[in-house]
Amino acid sequence: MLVDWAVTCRYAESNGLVGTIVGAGVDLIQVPALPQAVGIMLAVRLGATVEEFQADQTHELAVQVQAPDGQPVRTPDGSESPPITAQFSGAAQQIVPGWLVTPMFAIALQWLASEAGTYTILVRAGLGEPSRSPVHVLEAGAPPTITS
Amino acid sequence: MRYVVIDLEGNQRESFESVEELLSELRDIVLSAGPATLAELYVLEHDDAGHEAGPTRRADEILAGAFAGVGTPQTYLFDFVNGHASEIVSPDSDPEYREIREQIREQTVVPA
Repeated sequence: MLVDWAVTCRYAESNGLVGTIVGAGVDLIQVPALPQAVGIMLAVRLGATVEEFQADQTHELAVQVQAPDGQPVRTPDGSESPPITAQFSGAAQQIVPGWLVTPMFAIALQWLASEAGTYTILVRAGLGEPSRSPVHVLEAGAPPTITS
Repeated sequence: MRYVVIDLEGNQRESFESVEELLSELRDIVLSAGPATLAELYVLEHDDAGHEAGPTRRADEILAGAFAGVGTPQTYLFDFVNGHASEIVSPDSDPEYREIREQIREQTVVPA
């Protein structure tokens, strides 16, 4: 199982198979002042074999947000925020033998942005490699220069 | 109940007495003619008296819905401020999810 693709957006919803994405590709967040809780949505499509996606199986969706320095973002009390996981399950059959099963999810994220710069959202399904989606955070009025 | 497959002109191609038979035929069409073929086919439901008993549905949507179902919900919230993840069962009525959606709408910038 792997993350086939993940797209940042302003809004997404999915029926599990196909989705509706509003503002696909948006990657800039602007807030009056920092630190500030910020958020964005992702539309995420997975790819899995039908054997990996049976009704009696549970899978893990893990999300992590890295700050501009590459370290995990911090919680309001100053500690590093570890990856957050959610469990999901479902049953799927293949339309054609050999085709991948491609469930789709909508994910809303919120984190505490302590500084301006490029944050990275990592999404991992199961034991696969995570996808990486950059999101830029700016203070209002600041010149549009980003450090990554 | 019978499931009647029609083409774009409304011509009847085949009919089936069960959903399983219908899905099997639609899958065979994908295998033999490609998935785009299903976009030109529709399915009517007829009751035992031969009257239409439901809306006309696209064949490709019927097949996709039957073979790729995923358990609900499909929306998740990952909150790194409060340190938790949650499944959003009712996207329109979940207060925390609605608040974050509003926050996203206000904060994201789409270049002019």
